[in-house]
Parts: sequence; structure tokens; C-alpha cells
Amino acid sequence: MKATTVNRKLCNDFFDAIERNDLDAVADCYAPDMTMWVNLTGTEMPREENLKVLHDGAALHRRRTYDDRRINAFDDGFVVQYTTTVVALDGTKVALSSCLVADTRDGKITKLYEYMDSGKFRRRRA
Amino acid sequence: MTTEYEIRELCERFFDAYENKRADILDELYSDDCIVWHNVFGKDTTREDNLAAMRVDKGQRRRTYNDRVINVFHDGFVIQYSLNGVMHDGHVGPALWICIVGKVRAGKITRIDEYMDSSKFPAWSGRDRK
Repeated sequence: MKATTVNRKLCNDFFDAIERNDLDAVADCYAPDMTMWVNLTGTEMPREENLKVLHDGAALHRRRTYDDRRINAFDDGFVVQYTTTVVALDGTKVALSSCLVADTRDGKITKLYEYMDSGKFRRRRA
Repeated sequence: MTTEYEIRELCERFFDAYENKRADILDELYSDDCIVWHNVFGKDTTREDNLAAMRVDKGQRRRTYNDRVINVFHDGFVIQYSLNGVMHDGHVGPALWICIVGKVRAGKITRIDEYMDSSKFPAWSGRDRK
């Protein structure tokens, strides 16, 4: 299978696993030394911390889906543009456009870079 | 078909043109139907809007597009970079971290999608000091 095909599937497997709140499957997408960087903080989060954030975050809302996925894959990674749609515990729904760039190695994610606009959070809370 | 090498070079030329405020070069790099979308505004803008905006003084003496990490795919590119600015009053704030996905057809850019965090603007521009 071509590397770009593998990386495209990895991207979908990763988002599908988060949607199902299947953290074992998410962990299976990650290399042991995986880290995640987010443009909101500019800091790197290690693999275990990232999995804990996903675990704790799932309790804060009713449902989270990763929609409108536009995936472009290259030999050692992928970029995906998507809409995160969150249904809160009170039933309200919000959507946020984001972009994720991933480095991959041997079919696993080694680094994630996430770009989003925190201004959208403030406007929703206002 | 545009080769991956040509796409990478197109991406570099695009950012060099922005850095040097060369709207005439950007005009050459955009396809006639090029669309630019920003996550901060959430709407498409036309190529003419984008070129007109570039000619407006946005309060910076200089803008540089640094730390460029480019990945190329069959019909486009993704670039992660730091935008550094020097304001007219000499203020230099922390860099903005930005990601752009560009789509390419026949050697021209047909679409730009830009992702950044708008909460960083005040510190970047110095507006947080006023």
C-alpha cells in the first residue's frame, strides 16, 4: 500500500477513534514518543498527557464529531482540515474550523500540530 | 501537471512575495478564480480582495515569514510558519504561529486556507499596550 494511502487511513482511524471515545484505538495510532503541539499555547504535550486530556474532555460534552474532513497525505504525514462539532451536555451545538498537521513513521503518528482560533471560544461564551 | 518540486517553489515564491509586499508577483501566482479563506473570519474572499488588502498599510514596518516547514502533496502544499512583525513604532511582539493549506492547478494557486489564533493579535501588534 502506498505511504499516502496508509497515512490517509491513519488520519480517518484517528478521528473515528476519538469520536467513539475509544482511547485504546487512539493510543494505537500514536508512536510511543508521540507529542502534540497546539498553536493556542505553543507548548508540546506528551503522549500520555494527550490521552488524559481526551479522556477528561469526553466527560464535558454529549458528543463530538470531526466533520467535513479534507485530508491531504504525503509520504511522512498528512494535513486534515475539519470542523469539530460539539454537542454540549445541555444540548447546544457548536462548530469550530481547525487544521491538524501530522508527522508519521511506520504507520503511527509521531507529532501532531493543531491550529485553531481561540477567539471563537470567547465569542461563544459571551 | 505541476510537479511536487514546482509546488514547493511556488509556495516559497508566494511567501517571499508577501514578505516583500510584491502584489504584482502575487497577482501572477494566483489563478483567476483564486479564493482565500481565513478561519478567523470564516468566509471566502476573492483574489481581488486579497490583493487590495495587501496594498493597505496594516501598521507594520516589516513582516517576515520564518521557520517555514513545507509539506507537498499532489495538488497543493501545507506550510507551517511564524509571522514576525516590526510595527511602525518599533514594537516587536511574539510571533504568530500560522498554518496555510494551498491548492494548486497548472502552476497557480487556486485556494488558500489560513488557520491562526486571533487572540495573539493584540500582543503581536502592540495593541495590548494601548
